[in-house]
Amino acid sequence: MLDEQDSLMQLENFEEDLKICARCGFCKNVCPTYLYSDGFEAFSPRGRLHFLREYAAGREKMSASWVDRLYRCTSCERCMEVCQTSIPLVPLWEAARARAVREGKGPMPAHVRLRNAVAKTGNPYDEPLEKQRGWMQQEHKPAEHADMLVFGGCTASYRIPAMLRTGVSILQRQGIPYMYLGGKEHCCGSPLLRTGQKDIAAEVIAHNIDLINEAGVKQVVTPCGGCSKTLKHDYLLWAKRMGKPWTVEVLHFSEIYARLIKEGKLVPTKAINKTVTYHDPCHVGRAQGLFEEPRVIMAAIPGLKLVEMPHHGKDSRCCGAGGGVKSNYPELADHIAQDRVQEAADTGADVLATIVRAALWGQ
Amino acid sequence: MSYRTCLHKVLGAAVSTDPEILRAYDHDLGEMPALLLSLFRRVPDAVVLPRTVKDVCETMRIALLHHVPVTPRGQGTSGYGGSMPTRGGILMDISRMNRVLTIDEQNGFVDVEPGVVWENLAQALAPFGLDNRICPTSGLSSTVGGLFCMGGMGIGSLRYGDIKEVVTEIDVVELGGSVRTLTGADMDMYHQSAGCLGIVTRLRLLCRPRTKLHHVAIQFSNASRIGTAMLEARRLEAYSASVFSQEYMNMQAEAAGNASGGKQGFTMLLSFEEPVWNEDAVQAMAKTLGGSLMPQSMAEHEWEQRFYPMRIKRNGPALLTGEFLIKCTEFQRAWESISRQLSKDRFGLEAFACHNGTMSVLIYILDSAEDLASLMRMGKAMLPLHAVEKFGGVVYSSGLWFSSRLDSVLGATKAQRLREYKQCRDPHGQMNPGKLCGNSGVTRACILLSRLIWVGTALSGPISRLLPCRARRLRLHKEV
Ligand SMILES: Cc1cc2nc3c(=O)[nH]c(=O)nc-3n(C[C@H](O)[C@H](O)[C@H](O)COP(=O)(O)OP(=O)(O)OC[C@H]3O[C@@H](n4cnc5c(N)ncnc54)[C@H](O)[C@@H]3O)c2cc1C
Ligand code: SF4
Ligand code: SF4
Repeated sequence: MLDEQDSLMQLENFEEDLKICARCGFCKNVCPTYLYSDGFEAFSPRGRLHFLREYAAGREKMSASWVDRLYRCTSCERCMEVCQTSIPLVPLWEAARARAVREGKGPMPAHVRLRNAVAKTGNPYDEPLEKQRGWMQQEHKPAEHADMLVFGGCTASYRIPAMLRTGVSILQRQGIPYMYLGGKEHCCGSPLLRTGQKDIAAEVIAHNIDLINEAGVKQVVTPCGGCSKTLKHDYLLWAKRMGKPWTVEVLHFSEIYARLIKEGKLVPTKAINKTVTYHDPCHVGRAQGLFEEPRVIMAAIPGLKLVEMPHHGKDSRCCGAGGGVKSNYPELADHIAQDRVQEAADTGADVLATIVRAALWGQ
Repeated sequence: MSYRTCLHKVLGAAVSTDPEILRAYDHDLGEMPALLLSLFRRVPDAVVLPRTVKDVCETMRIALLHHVPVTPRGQGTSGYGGSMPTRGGILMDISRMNRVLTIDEQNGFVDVEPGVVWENLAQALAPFGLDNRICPTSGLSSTVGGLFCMGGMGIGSLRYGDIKEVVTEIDVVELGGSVRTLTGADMDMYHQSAGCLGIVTRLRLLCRPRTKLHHVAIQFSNASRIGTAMLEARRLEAYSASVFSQEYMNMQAEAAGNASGGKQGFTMLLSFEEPVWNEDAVQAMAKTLGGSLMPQSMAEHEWEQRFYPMRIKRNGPALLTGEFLIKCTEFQRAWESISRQLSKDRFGLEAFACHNGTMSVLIYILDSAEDLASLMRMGKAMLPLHAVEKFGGVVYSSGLWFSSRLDSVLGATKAQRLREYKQCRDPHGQMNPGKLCGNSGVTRACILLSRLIWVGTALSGPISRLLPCRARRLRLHKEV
């Protein structure tokens, strides 16, 4: 277990960041959840940061309503993208939620359910581990040892197997050897980290780091945006804190598809004669900088015409589902999703495409 | 029935009296010494978040009936204390009155609610082939109404003037709840009024055709030709002209985690609308004035960074800022005087030109604000303002902190007219007490405080000059 005071992800470590807020309000103008709040300053990212500064100075208390405001955040990173002084706002929000949990005032009821499920079965869907390999088809033949490991992730493994099947079939047909540790993977920890439940997150992260290290692979690939973000960014910090090695390269499947397309090894032949607009999911786009990859894939599909929404790329709007918002505040998530869907509809496109499960949830 | 109960009853969810919510309004952009802030109230007793003119009227009716002060607030991005509720009462947060009402494509104007954010307005105008004439560098958050009430200027002001020249008509709601439509001299009273007369509820703004902008960056080795270059940019009909001292560029580079350059010189960023863009003329101007053209990528980068002047705060964490207006022809003398005053400090300068031959200048000093002497050092932000007075420099705006400088900010004639207007329309000083002028005790006390700050910082200047500010390098984002 981590030494709480020593962790980089503690609120105390943001003391300096709290002081450099310029109070410019750029974050307030882009925040999707603020738009559907009561509208008072306290709800805005700027207001929350001001509160945390006062809280850190002992002038404010972590009340139930502040905890509620802190949890009404999708971790979309729009605030962070525009921040005048480059404050790492999403890690700050996560640290604040973790503090709420430590004070016994968080998380929200839906997040407690996630926690209980992970504690029981290792995944937030409360599915038995034996079912984890259920997505596999006959053609999927993982190697005993390979440089690449497929990390299925809970959502793809238990809920949307197509995400995983597509990626693994492509690996298989391209002759790229891969390992798979289905039946032993635990939740990557993303939903737990986003909701401030760091103690249990630390357990699953430690388990997965050990599992992946023991496999001796060089690359880990996953079809899930939340998993790839977490494995790329969070595991690096956590491994450091836990004194465990973490040198693997983490990839989202879209990175592999795009690379294969660029190398001329993957050539989509089936035409999709449709106009498509693409939603950049926050966890894949802003969080991992994967803006080009999905567009490379779409450009390679015969007949497909891409029309961009006004807010795309770094400026993409949120779908409303992330950060535990969809599970605990479904109405808020729906409002945000409706806005995004409307923006997509206004492009006149036939299809709204995206690459992450949470993004689909939002709609 | 108390006014708070009345507000709840009439305006429902648009009102909050929750202390947590109220406390979130206890500041604006400016970070002032706690000692100063402790001298007056900062937390309102009720916040109203109007969404319609009717909401504003109802609030103003109740305010007059119950003799309650009203403080308007846009996005609170001004640092002059104008949106701080010095007597408590009602704080009216205008930011949700943010609809674009009508866009007249033919005649090139737009009617907006006051809480519209500049950047959002630009996006709304784009499909009509229109754009904002001017935009402050806080345009990603600040409101149209806020800039009008502050009397600000921004990008585009070289070509199109300050906000006063862009707004042709306004609606206001005064105490009691009456709505008036104002133009000309009456409207002029509300310009720079910092909300001390009433609430602006609609503005008509002239737009410019949306055209491509060409950017060019020119390096000057010293201050001697900056003023002339700014005037030349106006002659060449530039849309916008900004200038940054080398130290400011260094501060920006360091805040982004990059290496800084030398210490001397200035970078000028010029932007031209497509129809008047004349590359040869710009090159000739640069050559004549001894400037050298910088790579195009540099010009594009500076333009992209235009909304991020305060990024340098990352290396503070305190950022002391002095802001003034000065004739372009006096820039060199002002610069030399400031350099003498701040000889022990590292400071950055950012300025942009207005079409009437003036420049708006910001002086930035970074400080750690860690020790007891920091209070004394904070006074340093005032040194440039004192230093440029003898060259005709005036404080940029008035608000709370510079209410004693009202005559020099507005000009003596306008200031006097404003006092009379205020006396006539708000005799008890209920609208935004403590700011600019008015009859209430709090306002008189605040004006006195402003005078004390002005005189005090002038007198303590020789001592604070000797206390160098020291910035503390912060951990950068990626290291967290
Ligand atoms: C990064 C940054 C860059 C900036 N760049 C510029 C710049 O280029 N040019 C410039 O001039 N300023 C600039 N500023 C300062 C500030 O952003 C502007 O003064 C801005 O116009 C203030 O708008 P606001 O909506 O934040 O108003 P606020 O700060 O909330 O209010 C300003 C004043 O107007 C009053 N007020 C606001 N709305 C109304 C209303 N509807 N009716 C009556 N009174 C009202 C308030 O009471 C207050 O006195 C900058 C600030 C930042 C943080
Ligand atoms: S991460 Fe998104 S939802 Fe959360 S505060 Fe920032 S902008 Fe708002
Ligand atoms: S954008 Fe950044 S600096 Fe500006 S108010 Fe928000 S957190 Fe503070």
